[in-house]
Amino acid sequence: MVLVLYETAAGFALFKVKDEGKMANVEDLCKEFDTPDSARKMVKLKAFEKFDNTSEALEAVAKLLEGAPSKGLRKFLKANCQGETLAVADSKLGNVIKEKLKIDCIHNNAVMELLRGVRSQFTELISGLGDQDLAPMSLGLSHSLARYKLKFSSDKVDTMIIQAIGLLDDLDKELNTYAMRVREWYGWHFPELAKIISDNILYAKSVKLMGNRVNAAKLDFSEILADEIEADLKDAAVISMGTEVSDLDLLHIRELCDQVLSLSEYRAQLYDYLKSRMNTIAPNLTALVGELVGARLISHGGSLLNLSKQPGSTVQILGAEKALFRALKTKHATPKYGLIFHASLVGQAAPKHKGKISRSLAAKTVLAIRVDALGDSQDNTMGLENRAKLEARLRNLEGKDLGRLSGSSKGKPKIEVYNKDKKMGSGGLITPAKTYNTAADSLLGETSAKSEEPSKKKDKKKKKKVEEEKPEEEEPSEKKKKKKAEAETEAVVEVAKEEKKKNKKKRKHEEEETTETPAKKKDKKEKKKKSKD
Amino acid sequence: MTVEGVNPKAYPLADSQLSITILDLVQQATNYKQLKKGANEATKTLNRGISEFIVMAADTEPLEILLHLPLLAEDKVFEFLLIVSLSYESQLVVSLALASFTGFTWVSSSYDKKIRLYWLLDSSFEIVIVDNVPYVFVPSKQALGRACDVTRPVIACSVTSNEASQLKSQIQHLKDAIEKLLI
Repeated sequence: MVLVLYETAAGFALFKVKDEGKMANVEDLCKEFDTPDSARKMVKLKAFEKFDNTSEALEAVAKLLEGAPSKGLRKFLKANCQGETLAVADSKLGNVIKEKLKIDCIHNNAVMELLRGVRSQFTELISGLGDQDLAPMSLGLSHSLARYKLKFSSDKVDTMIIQAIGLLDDLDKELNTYAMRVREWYGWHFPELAKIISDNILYAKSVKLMGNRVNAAKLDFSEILADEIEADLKDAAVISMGTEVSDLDLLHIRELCDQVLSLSEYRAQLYDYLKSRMNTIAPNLTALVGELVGARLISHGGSLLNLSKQPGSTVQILGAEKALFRALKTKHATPKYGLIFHASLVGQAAPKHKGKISRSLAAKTVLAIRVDALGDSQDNTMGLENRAKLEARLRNLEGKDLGRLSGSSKGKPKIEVYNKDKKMGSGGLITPAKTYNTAADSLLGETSAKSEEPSKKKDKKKKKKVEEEKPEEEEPSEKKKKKKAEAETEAVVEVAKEEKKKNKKKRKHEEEETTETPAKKKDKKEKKKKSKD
Repeated sequence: MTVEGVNPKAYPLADSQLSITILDLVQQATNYKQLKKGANEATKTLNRGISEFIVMAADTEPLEILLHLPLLAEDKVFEFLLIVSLSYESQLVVSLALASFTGFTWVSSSYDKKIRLYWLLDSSFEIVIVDNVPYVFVPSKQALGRACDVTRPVIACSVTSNEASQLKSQIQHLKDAIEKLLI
């Protein structure tokens, strides 16, 4: 026998499964719950324990969310489930029940399908509970549960950060206004003091101590000012060209100095408070971009949870919406950064790398925000790791430029060396031509001598032919035939030689033309004519 | 449904068979250009209302860097303001007005979505249509990266809407299977 535990806002219900064989067929199990009648055939209510009040319901469901049975559920199960098998919706809860109450528990797809069917027909399976009764119970329980859960996250309230950063910015403006008012007001009486003391806080302290400028000579400013500045102050007080003031005027100026000093003191306290809250609520974000930028991002996003739902590109340009929409309207370049510009990593980057670092920082910042908003731990390990990665990337970007510069400087000598090689090559080309020119001159004599020889040889050949013809007429014989063949071969060889010589002459002439000047060419032509004559 | 070694926050987690089906459809969506890869792009599709369902990797470390997606998926609300004067000639307006007074949640058959009515003082209505985007976790980010045709692991992706797509019926079946994990 299998019992099914079903949890509702009204109480716990135990259903008995009448036909366990159908549970084996998970796909068709939903058909059994199409109508109330078929549902009643499948399961039957065995026991129901109603919650007495909403606090009991809240306690029971809160325990269930942690995977543990409440006291009432344990009593209920002991009374009704001894010796039976219990089907539960949560395997963790089933394990706990098995350990503590010794009741066998099962949890599988068939159980989930069965519970879906029970849920769809619950009001028909149980008597005395309708939808109009169950709906307000569910709504009340969910509200109570939400309030119960919210109590544990009071440390995660980011509204305090939003108010603190807003107040810090307002304080900065107010403090600046008051300090400038002190300078201007006291400047009527002692105008030279504004140049001597540049710090607002020190100025206010000095004015409060001094009062009328004639008192400066007698007073000791060592606690407030350095010795040199103190000496300058006392010298200037003697020769000041300011007007006289009455005691009533000085009284009000002193009151204003008190205001400036107390405001600056409170601002320091507020900044310390903001640091501690940011490290508690958003440790990873603080590690990446610092307390002030992180707080401004949270303030601009509305809350930490709202900020965690934004993509990285939105976080990059938070704070520059006016510039973005103006750029989109006029089709100009969109801004590269918003509030994130004030992060130290963007400040470290060179101007041409600020955009890249800003984009990388925004992407990592969004991951850190999500971990802070949705995670449970308080450590800032992830933020520190991402910051180290970004710093490495920044170094890598800067290193690229150095590499290029050194590369270009190295390249120049190589180019010069290459040019020298070309010059050497051209020098080499010129020298052999000159030497060859001299050789050509000597060869011209030889060619003239050789030119006579072929003519002589030709005459000899003719004689040989005449002589050879005569024996043929008288006595044809094999030996004579051989001689003829030999003679013919010799003639061919001689012709080839002559052709080679002619080719050489042509080559020489061509080469000479490339190097000779026009005057030299004329001289050689004359020589050729003489030789022909 | 908690598997040992898997972060309990990764819910609903698909079993091995459903994971294979999801990754197959993710790969087909890649081919049909109906996929946005990465947590930031998935966030943008949810903000623009063009997402069919969200797939996330359960072995992401830390898992919180994509737990904002379920919040966005469950919170998508499409609002518009309908200025209607009360007129006894129109039955529809009268029924809408009656529904708003009783705080009744009216399910419209034409839109197949839940519609909430808010009665405003200047005799106009604000109509809010609430529609959730299904989301599901798969066990491995490496497998999800391979399904997206990316050599690196992918921790989140979003299948986008396209009424003329051939994947419409498969997407609808898978959305039903994903929503079944939540109940």
